[in-house]
Amino acid sequence: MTRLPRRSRSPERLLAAAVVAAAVALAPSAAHAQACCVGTGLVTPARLRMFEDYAVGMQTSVRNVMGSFASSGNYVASPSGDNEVDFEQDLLAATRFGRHVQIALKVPFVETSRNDTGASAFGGGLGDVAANLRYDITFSGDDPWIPGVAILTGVSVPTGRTVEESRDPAGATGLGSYEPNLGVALEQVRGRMFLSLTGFVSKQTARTVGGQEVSFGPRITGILAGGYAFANEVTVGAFVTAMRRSDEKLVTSGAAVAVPLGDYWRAQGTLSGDLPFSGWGLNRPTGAGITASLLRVWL
Amino acid sequence: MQTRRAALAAGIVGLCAIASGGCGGSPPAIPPVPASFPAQALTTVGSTSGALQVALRSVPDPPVRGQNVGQLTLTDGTGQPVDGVTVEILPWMPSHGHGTSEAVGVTDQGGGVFIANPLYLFMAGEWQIQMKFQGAIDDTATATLEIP
Repeated sequence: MTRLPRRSRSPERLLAAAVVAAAVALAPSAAHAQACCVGTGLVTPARLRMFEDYAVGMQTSVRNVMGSFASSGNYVASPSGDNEVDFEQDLLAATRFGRHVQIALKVPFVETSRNDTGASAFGGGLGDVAANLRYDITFSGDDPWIPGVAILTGVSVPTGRTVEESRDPAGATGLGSYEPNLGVALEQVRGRMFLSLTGFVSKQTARTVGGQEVSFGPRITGILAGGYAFANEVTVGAFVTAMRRSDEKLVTSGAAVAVPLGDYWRAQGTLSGDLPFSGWGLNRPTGAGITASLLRVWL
Repeated sequence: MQTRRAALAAGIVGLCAIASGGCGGSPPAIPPVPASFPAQALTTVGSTSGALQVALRSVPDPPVRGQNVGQLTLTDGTGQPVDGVTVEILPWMPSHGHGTSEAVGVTDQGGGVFIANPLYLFMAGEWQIQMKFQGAIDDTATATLEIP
């Protein structure tokens, strides 16, 4: 296990660590949406900074569905009286294998509250568990010109319940098949500012519904994030994500903050919203949400 | 420190206990079949072979997010009602790759008219009403609805 003693942390490494914390705080927002239709997170917020060996944590999120994009791309607000709120609580864990490799596990619990045409429903349970691996080829902060570059891969496992298996769609917590993903992350620091760009391709494996095999196209996701790290390592940032799969499209933006709580704890929060502009989405519900997480790390 | 660890462990165990059982939600009540349907069909589609015309009506009209009752009217190429078939219906969201939690009950009313209840279209977006016909004619048809 490679360890970097805290006393040896240079200003550059502190900044790089702050970048990591910020990227971690930003990434989860892209993951939260209706459990029936969007895979478990591409990135878990339990990403380790370079001097951390292990982390465990919890994350909670609430998202209010406000409307949807039609197949024409037109945005339509939810009809009066209809509402849906999606909740998620995640257990997180991560560990490091040497300087370059870390793996993370996310166990989500998903609940949905829905009211439509005078009926109401609430349901939930264990969602699709996700495992992720990150291989850092280069590290941001090591060189003023070469960005941090990392290869990301992962898979969500169909441990949740599909819509068809639920008594009510509110009880749906998973996709019903595996969704592996592969991505690349670039991160760079300039002074106290940072910028990161992450791209993923994922593909849900086929599943059988009513004797009929259903296949899915590749899902492409991009995350652009930037922000500022203060001297006390509190980091604020903003991000925009874009997702496209066959005839689905959605753009989300938001803001995030990561706050260290002493040496071994850190809190992260994200406010995010899908952009409700006609033409910016296809065949997707839209909403806004808040995410908060608390991590305990071991150095 | 031990107190915090114990609290964290208790929280995790409690959460797991709640979540391991989960809750699939309660199925919504099946709506009553209305006395009449709109004169104007929502859409009329041809079957895959072209032998059938399927007119789809719904209550409410237009269909809403949630529970709906559908009516299918089957006619042949000359406009005559088609009897002697059984109908299976699968509501489907093609872009998301899922159906719905409520199986659609289909009742033959005679004269080529079938009631589909419930059509539980629980999510906004584009839904397909996938229909399979067996008996006098073996065929399929798909109608597309946009739910706001």
